[in-house]
Amino acid sequence: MSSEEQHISYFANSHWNLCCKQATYLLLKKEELTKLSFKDETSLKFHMAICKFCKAFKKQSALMNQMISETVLASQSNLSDAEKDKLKLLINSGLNEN
Amino acid sequence: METPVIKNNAKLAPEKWVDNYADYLFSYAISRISKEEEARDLVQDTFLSALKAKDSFKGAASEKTWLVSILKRKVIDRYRKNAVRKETSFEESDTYKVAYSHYFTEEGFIPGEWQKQARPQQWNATDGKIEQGEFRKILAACLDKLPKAWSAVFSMKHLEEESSETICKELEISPSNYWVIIHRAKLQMRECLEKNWFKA
Repeated sequence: MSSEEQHISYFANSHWNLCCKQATYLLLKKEELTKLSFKDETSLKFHMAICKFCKAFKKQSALMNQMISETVLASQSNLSDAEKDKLKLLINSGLNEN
Repeated sequence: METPVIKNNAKLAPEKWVDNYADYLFSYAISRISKEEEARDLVQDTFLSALKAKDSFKGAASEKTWLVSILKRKVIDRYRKNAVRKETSFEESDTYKVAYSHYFTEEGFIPGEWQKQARPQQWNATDGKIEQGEFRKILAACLDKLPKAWSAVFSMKHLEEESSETICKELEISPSNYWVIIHRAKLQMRECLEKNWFKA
């Protein structure tokens, strides 16, 4: 466990009320794992109910994830004809070697 | 990726690869690597590796899927190289590494609260359709400002959409380290995108 993780979980283990640093950390963990321990889950829910900044963070994080994966999927770039000719030459000479 | 399996037809047609797949592979590479020259090199390397390995192609997947899997491997290797190459020196040399204390208070009545300047702001609503090209440029610029190891983790998670297990294994990091990097990289990316995209 790194010292930073220790720092975060130290607080998480000793209090039911999280600070924003721990809450955002747990939010991101939840994004991926979808489920946290009962205690983390409960204290996160409590924090989210009262903290508008972490609420905004949660929404923004989800929006970022969505926009990034859409951007990756929509990626469309073409190689120039000159680049393609170079690649063709390379492949042909590779084929002839064998 | 849903690609029909080609049966009884385990034939490759390397002479048609460039016409059929070069743009697709280049788009794939550039969306993940973002540096044009590196992306071009990766496409070239993919074709060369594929040529070398063409006897091992069994036709279990389509030609395209097979080529993409070779490219994907190369992209991940690139992330790993970037992450590991800098590891010994990145602590001191990465001026871009933003400290936790930039985002959260360390003292005061309740430590760990959002710093005033780091609080998430109201974002301008994007009307569903985003200008992909522009957003990608800003995304790439923000990624570029992350420490290399963080950028590798972030890219593998959000661009390659790999699981945390795979990422930890490929980049040789512990799970607890992984979560801290995800947290810090997200904080930094959020702030960067807020400044350059959502508030711009």
